Formats: sequence, C-alpha cells, structure tokens
Amino acid sequence: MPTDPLRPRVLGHLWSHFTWRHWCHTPWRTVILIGILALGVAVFFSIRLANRAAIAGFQLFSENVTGTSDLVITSPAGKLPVTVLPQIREALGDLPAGLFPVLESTAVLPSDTVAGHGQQTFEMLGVDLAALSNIVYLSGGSEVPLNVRMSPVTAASGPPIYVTRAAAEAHRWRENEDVQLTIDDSIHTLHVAGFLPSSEFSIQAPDRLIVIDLPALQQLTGQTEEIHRVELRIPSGHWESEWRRVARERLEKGSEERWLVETPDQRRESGRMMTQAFRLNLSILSCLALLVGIYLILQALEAAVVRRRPEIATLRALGVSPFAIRRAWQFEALILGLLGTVIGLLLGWALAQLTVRAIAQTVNTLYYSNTTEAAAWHWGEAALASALGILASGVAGWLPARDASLTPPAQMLQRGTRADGLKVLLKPWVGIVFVLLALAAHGAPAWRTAQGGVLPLGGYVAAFFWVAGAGILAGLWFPCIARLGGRLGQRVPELFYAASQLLQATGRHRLATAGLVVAVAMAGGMSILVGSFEQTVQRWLDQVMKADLFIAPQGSGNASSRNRLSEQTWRALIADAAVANAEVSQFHRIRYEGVPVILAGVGFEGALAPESGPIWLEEPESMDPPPGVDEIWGVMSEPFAYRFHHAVGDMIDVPTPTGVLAVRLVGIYADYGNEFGTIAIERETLARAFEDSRAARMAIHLRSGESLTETQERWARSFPGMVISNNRQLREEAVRIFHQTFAVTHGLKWIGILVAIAGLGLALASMLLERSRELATLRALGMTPARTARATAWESLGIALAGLVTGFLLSVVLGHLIVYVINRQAFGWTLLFTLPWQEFLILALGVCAVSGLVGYGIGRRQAASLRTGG
Amino acid sequence: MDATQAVPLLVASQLTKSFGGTPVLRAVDLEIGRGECVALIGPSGSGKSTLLHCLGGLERPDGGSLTFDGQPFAELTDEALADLRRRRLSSIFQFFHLLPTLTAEENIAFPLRLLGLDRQIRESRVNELLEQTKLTSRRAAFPHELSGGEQQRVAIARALIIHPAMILADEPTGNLDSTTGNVILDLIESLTETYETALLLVTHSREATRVCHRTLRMRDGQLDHAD
Ligand SMILES: Nc1ncnc2c1ncn2[C@@H]1O[C@H](COP(=O)(O)OP(=O)(O)O)[C@@H](O)[C@H]1O
Ligand SMILES: [Mg+2]
Repeated sequence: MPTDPLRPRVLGHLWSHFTWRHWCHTPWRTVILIGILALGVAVFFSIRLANRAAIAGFQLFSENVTGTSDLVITSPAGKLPVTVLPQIREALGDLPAGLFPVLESTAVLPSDTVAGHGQQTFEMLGVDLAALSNIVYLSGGSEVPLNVRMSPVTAASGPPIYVTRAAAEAHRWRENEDVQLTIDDSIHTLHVAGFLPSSEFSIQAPDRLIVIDLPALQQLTGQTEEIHRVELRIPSGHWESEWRRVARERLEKGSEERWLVETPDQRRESGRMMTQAFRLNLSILSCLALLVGIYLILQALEAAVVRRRPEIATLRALGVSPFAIRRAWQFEALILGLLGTVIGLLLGWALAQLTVRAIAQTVNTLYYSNTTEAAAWHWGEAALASALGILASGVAGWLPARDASLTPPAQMLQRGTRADGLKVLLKPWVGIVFVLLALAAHGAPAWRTAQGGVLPLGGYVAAFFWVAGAGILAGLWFPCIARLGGRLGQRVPELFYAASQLLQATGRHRLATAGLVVAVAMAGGMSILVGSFEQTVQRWLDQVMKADLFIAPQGSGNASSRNRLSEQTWRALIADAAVANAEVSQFHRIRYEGVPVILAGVGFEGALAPESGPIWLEEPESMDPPPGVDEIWGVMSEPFAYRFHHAVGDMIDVPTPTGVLAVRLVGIYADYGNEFGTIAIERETLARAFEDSRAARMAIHLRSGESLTETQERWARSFPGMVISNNRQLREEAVRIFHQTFAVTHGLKWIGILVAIAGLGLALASMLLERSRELATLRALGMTPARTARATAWESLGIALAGLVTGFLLSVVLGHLIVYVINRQAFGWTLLFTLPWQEFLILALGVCAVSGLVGYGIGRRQAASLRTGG
Repeated sequence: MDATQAVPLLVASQLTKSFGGTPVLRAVDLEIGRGECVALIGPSGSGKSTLLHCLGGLERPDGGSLTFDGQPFAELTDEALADLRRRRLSSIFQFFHLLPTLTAEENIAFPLRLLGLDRQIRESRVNELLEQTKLTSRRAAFPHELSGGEQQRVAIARALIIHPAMILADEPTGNLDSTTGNVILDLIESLTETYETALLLVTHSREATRVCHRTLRMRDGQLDHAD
C-alpha cells in the first residue's frame, strides 16, 4: 500500500471539489440513489419490526398475570386439575413462594355477522384475585401488575370483571355497568367492576385483556376442576435467586410427569418457535429487497464512474494515486449508505405500522392470539438494519471504486471505450460453477433447532446459488435475441441497430438482465408457491368440506380461542329434525416432545369415511384394532409425521390430564390447516381422557328437502353464541385467510419487480450516456429523437426478454425448490406443483411494457439533450 | 429545371447565434452553389463547428435566414430537418463517428436502412462505394478493428451513400497524420466530383484549400473571403 502523506487531505479535497460538486450538479440522481437504498433498508427494517411486534403480542400475554413471574407450571396436556395445587405445595416443601393458578379463556362480543371474521377476541384470565393482592407483600410493594382494587360490588347481575381502559373506551363500557360477552357457545352478562392499571407499571396490559375471579371463570366455562397454569413468585430479597433455583429443582423432582416447569423466557421461546418458519421466510424475502438495493447502488456508482472517467483520467495524469481515487469512491458509497440508512430507518418504522397489522392478523389466525396493533421502535433491529445498509453500500461501492482506480491516466478518449462493467458476468463458467453448487445444496438436510424448529438452510443456500448462477448465464441469451432482432429488423433500422447493441452486449447489459432475473424469478417463485398452495388447499377443501353447515363457537377464527360448544348444545343440534348426520370434533393444544401440537378427537365413521374423509397419504386399512388387541388407534397429519419422524405403525405417548395415552398411529392424512401437526383419535376416547365432552366444531349434513338458509337462520336465532356457516361461506373464509397470509409476500414481490425495472432504467441511462457520441451520430444521419428512442426501447425490450426468459426458467426451479424442499422441510406439507400461467403472462407483459416505456423515455431524453461534439 | 439551377443550393444570410449571452456567430452571410466545393478556415473557437451545426439543422440559429434548395429552414420542423439529413445532407466528423456495434459495411449501409431501401439497392450501392473507397477487403471489420484512415474512409462512404446534395465536413483530417490526411482529402475531392456533391470543408490544412473552389475565413463569428 503506497504511503501518501497527503492522503487525508487529498481525500477531503476530492470529496469537496469533485464528489460533492457532482452531487450538487445532479441532485435528482443523488436523491433517487439514496431513496433506493432507503427503500431496501426500510423494507427489511419494517418486516423485522413487524415480526417482533407480532411476537411481543405473545410475550405480553404470557407475562402479564403476576408481572414477571419466576416460574410457570404447566402441563403437556394443556391443563391441570385443581388438585395439583396442594401437590405443588408439597413438592416445594418449606420454600416461601406464592402460587397463582390461572385459567384462560376467550370471549367475543356477541355479533350478528354470520361468518364472524374480524371479530375482536378478548383474552379472559381467571385468577385468584384474593391471592393476587398478596403480591404486594411478596414483591415488597414495589411492582404490582394487577393491583385490582376490589370495589364492593353492588347489585351485581353477573360475575365482576376488570377490563382495560382502552377496551372500555373502545366499547363504551362504564364502571359498575353490565356487559354481554360470548364465552364458549353462550352469551353471558358480566359486570365491569373496575379497570386494570395500564401505564403506572412496568408491564402494560394488552388492550383486550379481561381479568375475572378464577372460580367465576371456572363456573362460566364449566371447567370447575381445572386450571391452565400455575405461576410462582418468590419473595424478593437476598435469597431470591437461590430460592428460585431450589424451587425449580424441587418442582422438577416432584413432578412425576404431572407438570412442566418453565421460566417465562422458555415460554416466550415457544411462541417464537411456533412462528419461526413464517418469520424466517419474511425476513429472507425482505433481505431480497436489500439485495436488489445493493445491486442498484452498484449500478448507479458504476454509471457515475463511466460519466466521470475523463475527470478521473485527468486526475490520474495529474498524479493522484489510484489508491486515493479508490478511497474517494468508497467514501462516496459510504456516505450514500449512511444517508440511505438513516432515511430507511425512518421510512421502515412508518412502513412497519402498516405491515404489522397484516402480520399480526396472520399470526392471530394461524398461531396464537395476538393483540399487536403498532410496531415499536427497536434499537437492536435498527442497528442490524443500519449495519446491513452500510455493509450493502460498502459492497456496492467496492467494484466501481476498483474500476475507477484502474482508469488509466488520460489517453482513453481516443476510441469510444465501451466499459465492460462487471467482468464476472462475462464468464459463463462462473455461472456454471454456481449452478453446480446449487444442485449440491439441494440435497442438504434441514437444520433442526433445539426447540424443534426446522430451518431449511440447504434450500435457501441452493436458492442463492441458483439465482447467482442464472444471473450470470442469462447473458447467453443475448446472441440469440440479437440474431432474432437482426432478422426481424431488416426493414426496421431501429430494431436492427438495437440488435447490433445486444450482439455486443456489455457487462452493463448483463447486470441489468441479472437484476431482472432475480426479481422475475423471485416473483415467479412466489407465484408458484402461492398458486400451488391455493390449488392444493382448494382440492383439500373440496375433499374435506362436503357438509352443508359448519358450526363453531364465536371467536374460533382465532387460533388460540378456547371457546367450545357444550355437550348440551351439540347434542341438541344432532337431535334436530333437519339433521341427517353430523360430525362432531374437538381438539386440544398439547405439548408433544415439548413442542406444541394438536390433539384432535373425531368421529371415525363420519370424519374419516372414504367419501367425506381427508386426502390420505397413507390410508389405514381399518380404524378399529382387531379383536383381542387392546390399543388406541389414531392417525396423524402430514406435518406431524414429518416433524417427529413418525411412520405408520409407531406407538406414541400422548399426554392427557388423566395420564399418558399410548396411541398406535395407523395412517397419515394431508392437512393444510396448521403446521404444528395433528394427532387424531376417536372423539369419545379424547373426551374421556380430558374429562371434557365439549366440541370445537360440527359439520352437518341436512336431510334432503330441508332448506339450508332456513335452518341456518333458525339455529342462529336459537344459538346466538355460535357461528353457523354454510359451505360457501366457510370456503370463502378459508380463501380469505389464505390471501391474508400472503398479503405481505405479494407486497414484497412487487417492490422487488419495481426496483429491478428501476435498475434497468438506470442501466440504460448510463449506457446511453456512454454512447452519447453515437446518439449524436445517429442524429446527424437523420434519425429523429423519436426514432432513437424507439431503438432504445427495442434494446430495453431485448434486455427485458433475456431477463424474463431466464427469470421464468429460474422461477420454475425456485418454485420447485420452495414447494418440494423449503416448504416441505419447514412445514412438512406436500403441495401440488402448479404453474400459474396467467400470472406469469401478466408479469411478462407488464415487465415488457414498462421496460419498453422506460427505454423509450430515457432514449428520448438523451437524444433530445444532445449535440454533435468535436 | 432552369430556375432551380439558377438558385444557389444553400443561402445563409445574417445568421446569428450566441451561447449564454456570448455571441458565437455574428451576421454570417454565405452562399454555396450546386456541386461547389468551399473550404472554411479559422482559428479554434471562432465558430466554425457552430456554423456547420446550424447548416446541418442540428442547431437552430438565433437570427437570420437559412434556405436549402429554396426551402427556408425556419419553416421546417425538427422531423423535416431530420428527413433532410436522411436524404440530402451528409456530415463527416473529425472523430469519424462510426457506430461501434456495426461493421464497416453495415455502417455504410445504415443511412439506406433509415430510408427503408431494399436490400438489393443497398448492396449494389455499398459495393460500389466500398470499391471507390478501397475498403472491399475490410467490409466485415468493426470500427475498433480499423485504422484512423480506414475509419474516415468508411465515414466518407457512409456520407455519400445517399447521394447527398451537400456534405458538411468538420475537420475530417484533424485526427489523422498528414500523409493519410492528404489521401482522405483527395478521396473526398474526387468523390464529391463524381457524385456532383457540394462540399463545405472545415480545415486547418493549407493543402485542403488547394482542392476547393473557394476558401472562406471565419474570425470572431464573421466570414470574410480569404483569397
Ligand atoms: N453548446 C455550447 N454551449 C456553450 N458554448 C458553446 C457551445 N458550443 C460552442 N460553444 C462556444 O462557441 C464558440 C465556438 O465554438 P466552435 O463552433 O466549436 O468553434 P470551432 O469549431 O471554430 O473551434 C466557443 O467559444 C465555444 O466555447
Ligand atoms: Mg470545431
């Protein structure tokens, strides 16, 4: 490295007298450049913030009851008998600890909408209010999250509840007034006895939290003998951490498989784990936006190098070292990066407020209840996004800086130098190596995290190499396209000229194509994924949704809803004269091998019957054990089989409140309803094991001749706490959820395409700048600006064509990768591969049209602003 | 026919042009007859190129009038001016200005493509000009594979292929050594004679003024006769 004593001074001078003046001279170019980088950073940052907010919703809820509880005692079966309390006491021995049993439930506002979507679900927490007031003593009076002042209830018509001020405001509830809420399948009158504290304490209550006395909630939900968890608080003081350790030890030793002991951190982790794959997919997608941003900056800086080449050559001739020039360019890139990052963070924060709702909605429907409505600023994420943004600008500045420093002193204007741009893109063998690496990565197994999460790393690596390889190989189309253009252009001189440009395509042409390839392939791959998914789900719905009416308690659109149909209700429905037959099903969320899964109870004759049953991947020969074999038989969903590596014939241990149930798995069925995995056993067996005969859903076939709408309306009147949907409504709801899930994906897809087309425009603009003398010649030869613009449009179209053809081929490969490798590894789903032709066609036409227009516009502008030099 | 013969091909009167308040052309009067060869000399920066740009319709003068073949430029749209350049008015430049992605042959034929002429006509004319400029063996070469003299020969062939009424040549030998420059000048002279093309030749070389009928001198934006 040459030591240049004047270096810092030289650098400063280069910045203030050259770079800065160039920026001022072309302010819009600078603004757009910074804007592009800002967009990339913003997309990334907003998705990360929104993801974080969605998780935080879970966190808030799990932490809220006793503030930061020390330990949480739960059961793998999902609930604990109340008798567990003395057992826990016994296990703890003489340790001073407060025990706070919690029963969770959900409630919704009674509504008259039939489908019932978009309903607000309230989280009902049944806690021992008397015991809770003891926390004051336990924590030394410092921190009391639910310091419920129990005002004497006067003439209460229902059990007292405590609500947040926000909820009270939103629903115009007043203190000491009655409200109506649907819990399970019936409407109850409850009395608002007071408000939950909101801002005075370290942890804020989620707006939709309702606190109620434990026995009251047990009564309301008919779960008089049950609780969902016990929170444990150790009194604060000198011995706190020691006691916590001992408590944990003793509880674990004394558990005898009756309970699980976790710290709140561990509980939070499980929420994080549930949505891991979902969030990872979004993060990776948002990274793509940043990647395209890098690519654009690189292109723009390359163009700037070309524009300023005479100046660089002169500086070189005057003795400025290549090293100083290189530094000056890197510095310029860095400043761009810094500015773009700062703006990007602000923009991202604003964008997050928009995306957070979409993401929270999805999490709500698919994973767990979530009360998020705003994304909070997070310094850690901001630091990560900043680091990526500045790193991106550094990477993007590196090549142009090298290019600039390699400019020879003067003497370069002689022969119209066509800059090579990125030389890597001119070497097909590099592309072939990338493709080979991609093929190798295809087979790599998924990486399993300690909490049972699955990251399809091999798939992502393969996707990266495919994209890189295809981006380079896309340039191989240019000769073909040029020859085709040349032939068609015999009578069209503009096309003929454009073809001659493509025949000698530069690195810049290839870079523009590569950008389009990435964007088109990404969009195409996403379309294939969504299309395949939609097709598969549609087929699945056709198979499993044959009944006329579907019944569920209100609020069941929310994944963590605990509302159920009481036995009385579902029996009454079965007995109704209009019903030909009914399938009643129930499910519980349990933990299998420490991971959340769903244990379902279905009627084997009805739900699994060949005509109305699921799509079998491995169909059981029979659902009943042969005589003499005393076993419980069940079937599993595909994600379950995939996640836990279970095969047909395996015996598994299923935790239930009444003890472990040994189940032999005899079949695998397709299930796109959830990704946790489901074990389905006979409903009555489940009811016995859980001592709970309620039902989550009913599917009803009406007798022929019975009017669908009439029955629906009649039941809606007599069972106001239920959502009664007909086949069409439920399907529409399923499709709506489906589209909502992919809403963010679609948004990101279009941002990618937009940025790539901007890149194409930028590339064309810099190519035409390089060619300004050529354009002047064309003008002298009698070509009007309009004709020159048409030539540029053809050229742009040629680049777009190369990008589209490669992009679509690549998208099929990526689609295959996503459907058969990534999706399978992450979710364990088999999808039907579908090529969404119409979407591809629209995409192709759109890209062609916009590319043509961009080319025309830039050509026209350049041609109009020209003079014949020399 | 007689009437048009009598009118000079190009008439410029009282042309003025300034850039940003600085006058570059001050009241230029100029007449060029059909088939006439006129040399234009003058110090660098005196406005020669600017005058040529105005005559070629690439730049519009601020004042004065300009007629080509009896047609006033002021009445022509940019499109009509471009059409004029496609059919009647060619240019040759100091830095050759060939289209780098086209071969010699394609460069020469390009103006005929712009006119939409058939392949056969194109080929016969190109072959004729390749022969006249002694480029037949280099026809498939790209500009960067040609020497300076060869490139300028291609440019001359390209200028003549439309059989223009006039060629505007801006220092065509300025970037060549003197021997090659003289060869080029002779070629321009003989070919413009063959095709009966008028020529306005901006040059620094004394040699050039020899081949022309008339020499004009430009000084501070004004023309005077040098001989
Ligand atoms: N586009 C332009 N903008 C500003 N000034 C110009 C422009 N073109 C030419 N000039 C100025 O006009 C004067 C004459 O230039 P030019 O016609 O190129 O001279 P010559 O060809 O005789 O050397 C010069 O001083 C030049 O700076
Ligand atoms: Mg000049």
